[in-house]
Amino acid sequence: MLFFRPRPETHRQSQRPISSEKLFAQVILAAQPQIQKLWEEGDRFIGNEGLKCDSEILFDQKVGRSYYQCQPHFWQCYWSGGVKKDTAFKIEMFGQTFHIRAKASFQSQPAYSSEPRFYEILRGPYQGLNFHYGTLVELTLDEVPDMTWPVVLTDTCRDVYLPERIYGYGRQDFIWDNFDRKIFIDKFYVSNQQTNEWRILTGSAGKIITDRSKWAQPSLLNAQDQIKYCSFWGKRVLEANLFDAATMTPSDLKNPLADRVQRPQTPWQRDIGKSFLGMARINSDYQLTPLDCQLAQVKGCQEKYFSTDSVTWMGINYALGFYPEALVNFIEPNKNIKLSSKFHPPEASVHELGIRGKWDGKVDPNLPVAFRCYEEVSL
Amino acid sequence: MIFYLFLILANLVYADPTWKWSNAIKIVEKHEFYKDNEIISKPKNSWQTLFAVLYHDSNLKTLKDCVYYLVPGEESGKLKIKTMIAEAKCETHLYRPGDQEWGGVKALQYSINENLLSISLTNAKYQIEKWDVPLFNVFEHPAPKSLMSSAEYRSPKMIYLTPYKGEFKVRPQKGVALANKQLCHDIAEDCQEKSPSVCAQCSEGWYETPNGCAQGPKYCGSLECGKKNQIACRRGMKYQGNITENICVNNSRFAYCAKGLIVQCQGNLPYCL
Repeated sequence: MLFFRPRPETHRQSQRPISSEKLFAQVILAAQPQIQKLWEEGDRFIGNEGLKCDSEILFDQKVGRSYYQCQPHFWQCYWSGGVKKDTAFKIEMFGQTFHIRAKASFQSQPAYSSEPRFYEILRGPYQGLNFHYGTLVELTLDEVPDMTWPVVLTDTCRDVYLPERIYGYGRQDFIWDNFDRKIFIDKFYVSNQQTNEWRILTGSAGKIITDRSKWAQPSLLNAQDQIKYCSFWGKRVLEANLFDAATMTPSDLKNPLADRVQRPQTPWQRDIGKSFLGMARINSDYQLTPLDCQLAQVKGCQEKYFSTDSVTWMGINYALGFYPEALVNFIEPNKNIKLSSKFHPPEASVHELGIRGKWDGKVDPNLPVAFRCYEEVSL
Repeated sequence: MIFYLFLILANLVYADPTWKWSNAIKIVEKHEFYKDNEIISKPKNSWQTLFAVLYHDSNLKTLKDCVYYLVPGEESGKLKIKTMIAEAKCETHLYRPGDQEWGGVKALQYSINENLLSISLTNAKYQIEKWDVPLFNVFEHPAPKSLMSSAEYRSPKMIYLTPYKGEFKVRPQKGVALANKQLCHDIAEDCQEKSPSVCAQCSEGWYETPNGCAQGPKYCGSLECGKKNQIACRRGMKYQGNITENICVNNSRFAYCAKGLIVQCQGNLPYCL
């Protein structure tokens, strides 16, 4: 009978490697989830007191937490001790506590500060490595001090996949599909901080915006520079039909080959009359609520950048309101700007999906135009 | 205790060289016949290429470690590793000395799966050494799904390069980018893929010339499709319902032009007039 008794579970502990190289490799690999979390979800490391590295990145209530995700300046701030004093990640292995750190082994960037950097921005392509944008960092272990592991952190936060299905364009009877195409659209407008990186890599560091309080704001480039920025990273300026696809919620998400393609007036409701924008049209005394401003920042709302409250069905932000957005339009080339923006009151007729105007492509202080990129991946 | 001392000595004798393979991106040139965990005993007295490990060094250059084995016969076996550039063939170095060699091997077996490369050696004193290498960078492109980013679709989230000892400055060296207008994905008129896409190597993206196939030919750079006298833009095939005929002259609805222009076919390529 003893044969059937429950036996205690035996844990086979892996043996501590003899070689310091292998020990180093095993500990660093064990720390991958923590390193990845710091990179992808940096905002979760920010405590109530915010950040203490004003010379690197500012903490601002007007800026959403997404700004700190996959953010090289946050990475720099963290390892410089601007988030917490003891920066090392601790890993318990083989009965010992190991301490993992990033190394400040990259040249300082005079445009930012004289301090050595904890990262370097890489622009692909590299042979055998499939990325356009990468952040090179170096990891070390206090307990094996003579070894360093260079790692490329990829930008998993920037864009989002446009599912393959049949879509409509504008309010017309034009339909198309993106089957067999792998299209990824930026979630947010390209920011000043992102165009600063581009300026530095293209040898125009003199043109960067040094005022850190403006880094999270949309970059206001002329149409030619928008194209240059996106193509530098292997991308394109977002197109009007892709914008509609990403913002017009399909009526049947489960059927990508639906016979009828809906053209809703807002990302949240098919009929604008049921939304706050519709109510504002019929009620001149309509009072904006904080929730309204989360859905679409219109005139009368407080500014907020990198907020995710306005997310569409497939994951991009700012479908209506916020900034006028440049859109390349191959169907109607003269309709190349989304007009709905924070410069129009909620009752304005421009606050509707598919409503576009003409932009001459020039920077005009009276009409700030944001943009975002998209990428089609071919493997 | 004696057993552990024995293991430590065995480790020192063999000095596992595989720690740098944790950043392998691909296992290539695998031996045609050897099966996972089979003790390699044939053909005796011959050098065999077991496999090669592709990985990136600290300069982001792709290197290849070829792993060869002299199958034991009249004499003991020998394992050797030779590092070379990614494009070189392991075969060319089969009979040349390796960068690292381990003689007196009595038996060897290895296995390669998705996440782990494992080599087991028995030395002249019949001590067994096992080298297990987790393969973190070996990456199969996932099917794209809702909320996935392009970075997750195309590569691991963290790409490990080769660790190094001591003071060393990483100096990333640029890869060779394809020039604009260069064909990067060759698709024949009958929709057959003539060569796999290398469009990831285009420095400024790529564009497609739609030809009614699921994938049209692609070129590096950009093109404003849909304008007068330009190639038309891709519109898709499936939105047309059950129509499968996408020969341009019979059905050019797989492409579109800007408002006011019409699609005109030249061969199977749609242009805007």
